[in-house]
Amino acid sequence: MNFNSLIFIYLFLPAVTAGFFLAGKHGRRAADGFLLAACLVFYAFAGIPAALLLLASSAATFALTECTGKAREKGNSGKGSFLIAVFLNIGLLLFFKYTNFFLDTAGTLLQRQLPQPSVLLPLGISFYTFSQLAFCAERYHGKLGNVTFPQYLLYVSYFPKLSQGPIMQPSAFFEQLSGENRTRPDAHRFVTAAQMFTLGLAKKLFLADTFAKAAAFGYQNYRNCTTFDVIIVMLSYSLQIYFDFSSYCDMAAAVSMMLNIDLPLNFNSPYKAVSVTEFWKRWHITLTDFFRTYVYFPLGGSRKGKLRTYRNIMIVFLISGFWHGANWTFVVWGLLHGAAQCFERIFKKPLSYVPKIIRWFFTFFFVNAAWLLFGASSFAQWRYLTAQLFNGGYILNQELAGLLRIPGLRAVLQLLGFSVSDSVVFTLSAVILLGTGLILCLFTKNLQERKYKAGKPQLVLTALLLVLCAASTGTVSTFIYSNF
Amino acid sequence: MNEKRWIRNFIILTAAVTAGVCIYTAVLDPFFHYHAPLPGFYYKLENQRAQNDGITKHFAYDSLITGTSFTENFRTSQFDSLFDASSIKVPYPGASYREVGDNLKTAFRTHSGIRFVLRSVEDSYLIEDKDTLHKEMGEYPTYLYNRNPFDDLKYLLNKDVIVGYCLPMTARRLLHEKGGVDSFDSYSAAPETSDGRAKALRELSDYQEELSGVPGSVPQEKLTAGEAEMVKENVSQNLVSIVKAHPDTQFYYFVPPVSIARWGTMYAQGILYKQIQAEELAFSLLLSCDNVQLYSFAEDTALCTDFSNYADSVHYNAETAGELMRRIHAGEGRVTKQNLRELLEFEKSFYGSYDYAALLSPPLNTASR
Repeated sequence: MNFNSLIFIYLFLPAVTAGFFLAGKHGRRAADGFLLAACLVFYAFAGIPAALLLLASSAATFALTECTGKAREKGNSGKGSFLIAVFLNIGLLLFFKYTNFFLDTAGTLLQRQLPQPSVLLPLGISFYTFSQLAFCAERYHGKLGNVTFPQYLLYVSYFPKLSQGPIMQPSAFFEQLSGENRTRPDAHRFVTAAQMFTLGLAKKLFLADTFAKAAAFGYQNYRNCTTFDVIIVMLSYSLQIYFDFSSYCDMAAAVSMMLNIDLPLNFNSPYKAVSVTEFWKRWHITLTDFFRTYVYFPLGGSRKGKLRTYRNIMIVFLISGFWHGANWTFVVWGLLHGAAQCFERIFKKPLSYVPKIIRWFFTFFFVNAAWLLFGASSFAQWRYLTAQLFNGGYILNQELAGLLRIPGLRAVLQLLGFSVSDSVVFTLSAVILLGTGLILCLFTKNLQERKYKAGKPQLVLTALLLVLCAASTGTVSTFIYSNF
Repeated sequence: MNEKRWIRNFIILTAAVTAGVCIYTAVLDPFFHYHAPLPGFYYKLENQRAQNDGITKHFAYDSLITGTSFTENFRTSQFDSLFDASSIKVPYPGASYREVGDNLKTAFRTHSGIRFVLRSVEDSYLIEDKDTLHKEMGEYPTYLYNRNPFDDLKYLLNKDVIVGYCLPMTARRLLHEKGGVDSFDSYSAAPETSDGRAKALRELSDYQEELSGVPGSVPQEKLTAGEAEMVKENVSQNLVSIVKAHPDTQFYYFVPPVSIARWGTMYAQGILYKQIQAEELAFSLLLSCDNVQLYSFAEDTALCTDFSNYADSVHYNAETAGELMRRIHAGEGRVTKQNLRELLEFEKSFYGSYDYAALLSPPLNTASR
C-alpha cells in the first residue's frame, strides 16, 4: 500500500487516525495497540512472508537486546548479544538485498555463470534494519530505558517511516511515545498535516512522476541522446529523485503528525548546497546522521589525523553507496561523493575564497552528474551519457521533450495569438517544467518548513487538490503489443 | 477560521467533491461499466481493454466479432448485411485465448439468444498455458471486469477518464452536438499503410543467415508431449467449452492468414512443423463440435504472397479483411474433418520448402532500418 493510493487516502488513513484516537479514550496502551495492529496490516499488504520476516527479525533482535540489557544490569558489557543482534540484522539485509549481486560479481570474477536464486526483497528492509541497529546500539550504550516488545515492534514497523524512512533514533521515538496528551487529537496539527500531505502528494504525482518519464526514456534510449537530451535527462532524474523521495518524507511526516509523533526532517532543500559536504547535511539527513553516529564516530571521526579522517569518510560513503543499491554503480557513486568531500576538506581554505554562486554551480553540476551514474544500469551507459553531454550535438529529441509536455499549453499560446508547432510547444513545456522544478528546489521553503493557515482559501484549495491528486493516482492504461 | 471547524469543513468538502466526481463519472459512464450509452451524449470507442467489457455487457446485439488485432479491420456493417444480424466488435489486440474466452463467457452470461460468433484463432497463442494473460502489454483494468464495487473508485475517480472522456462528452452535449456511439466499423480499425512489404521483409531479414541454405533444410522442432497437453487444455477451456455450452450459437472460427514473411520467420526459427502439429490438435478438437465452422486460408498462396494485402508481416488490410468475411459467409476456405489432413500436408510441404531467401534478394540492407 502506497501513500499515493486510493485505498490509503480514503480508507486506511482516515480509519487509522479515527481508530487511534477512539482507542485513545481507553488509554495509551489501547491506542498504541491499535496503532501497532494498523502498522502490521499496512506492512502485510507487501506480502505475508515479508510481514513474517519483519516479526521474526524484530522478535529475535528484541530478545538479544533484552539479553544485552540484563547483562548490563549485572555489570557485564553485553557485547556478545549486541554483536549477535548486529550481525543478524546485517546478515538478513545482505542476504535479501545482495545475494544476487554477490553471485553476479563472483561469477564475473570466476568467469562462470553462477545460479541466481529468486530472492524477493522485503519492503523497507534497508530502513527497518537500520532502525533495529540503532536500537541495538542505544540499548548497548545504555541510552534507552526499558521498552516492551509491543513498543519495540511499533518502533520498527511504524508505518509512516517503514518503507522509505526517515531513520528515526529510538530514543526520540520512545520519548514521544510516552508523551502526555499524545492520544488526544490536535486540531492545529491536523490542519498542518492535511495541507502538507496534500502538497507532498501533488509533488509526487505532478512533478516526480512527470520527470520520471523523461528520465526513464533517456536511459532506455541513451544511445540516441544528444547533449541537450542528456541535460534534460540529467536534470529530470535529479528532480525526479528529489521530489519523489522528499514528497514521501513530507507525506510520512504529515501522517505521523496526525498521530502526534514528529518525524525528523530528512530533506532540507539539498540542491541549495554550495558544497558536497553541505549537500549531505541537507539530503537524506537521517541516513547521514546514522552513518555519522554508528560508523564515522566509532572509526574515530576526524579526531585521529587527516589521513584517518579521509579514510573514514571514504568508508562511510562506500557503505552508503552499497546501502543504496546492489550494483557497482551505486558503490562508485558513493565513493565519488566521498572523494568530493575529501577534496573539499583538503582544499577548504582556497575554496572558501571562491564566490558562493560558483561553488553552488559546481556542487550542483557534480551532484547531477553523479545522479546520472546512480540512475544508470551500468558503467557503460553512464560513460556514454557523460560523453554525449559534451559531444552529443544540440538537437532536442522531440519525443523526450514531449514527455514534459504541459497539457493545455498549446491552447493558451493560441489564445494569446501564437500559432506554434509541436516542436515549440514541447521545448517550451520542457523549459517551463524543468525551470519550475529548479525554482521550487532553489528558491522556496520546503513543505516541512512552511507555516500553514486554517483559512478558507487553504480549505478549498487543499480539498480540491487532494481530490485531483486522488484522481491522478490511477490512469487508463495504453496497451503495447508487439505481435497480435 | 477555527481549526476544528476547518478540519470538519475540509472532510465534508473533500467527501462532497469526491462523491460529486464519482457520480458524474458513473452517470456518463464512458466505459459502460454500469449502463448502456445515454441518449444525448456521444461516446467515443477507443480503448479496447477499458470499453470492451462494458460493450459486451450493456449493448444490444445478437452476434459478436471478437479475437485479437486480426479482427480490428472487420466491419460489423458488412457482417450484419451478410448474416442478417446485429453485431458488435470487441477485439483484444495481443490477447491470449483465455482473455477472449472470458469476454465471450461474459457475453453469454448477459445476453440470451446470441446467434453468431466470429472469432480469430491465432497459431502463435496455441502453445500457451490455458490461463495465460499477456500482462506484459499493460495494466489490465480488472476493476472494470470484476463484481467488486469497492475498487470501482479507480474508475470513478480517475483523471484520465474524467479529462479524456467525461469532459469532452459534456462539452459536446453543451454544444448541442448529436449523441451516439462511434461506429463499430471504425472501432479499433488500424490506419491504412503502404509500407507493408518493407515491414514484413524487415522482420524476415533478421533470419537471412538461416534462410541462406537450401529451401527446406532448416531443422524443425516437434511438438513435445507437454506442449501438446498445453494446446489441448488451452483450446478445450477457452474455445471448445464455450462452444459446447451454447449449442444454439453458430461459431465461425478462422485462422488469420499471415503473410509469407511470417511463414518464413516460423520456418527460420524451426517452429513451423511444431505450429502445424499444434494446429492439428486444435482443429481436431474444434471440428468435433457441430456448431463450429472452422476456416483457414493457408492454401491461398496468392493472398499470403501478395504484400499489398498486408500492413506488416501478419496484419492484413481492411480490404482483405472484408474479403475474408465474404469468404467465411460463402463457406470458402472451410476446414472439415475430411480436408484437414490435406490442409496440414499442404502447409508442411509448401511453407516448409518455400524459397524465402528469394524474397530477400537483393538482401535487405539492415543498416537502412
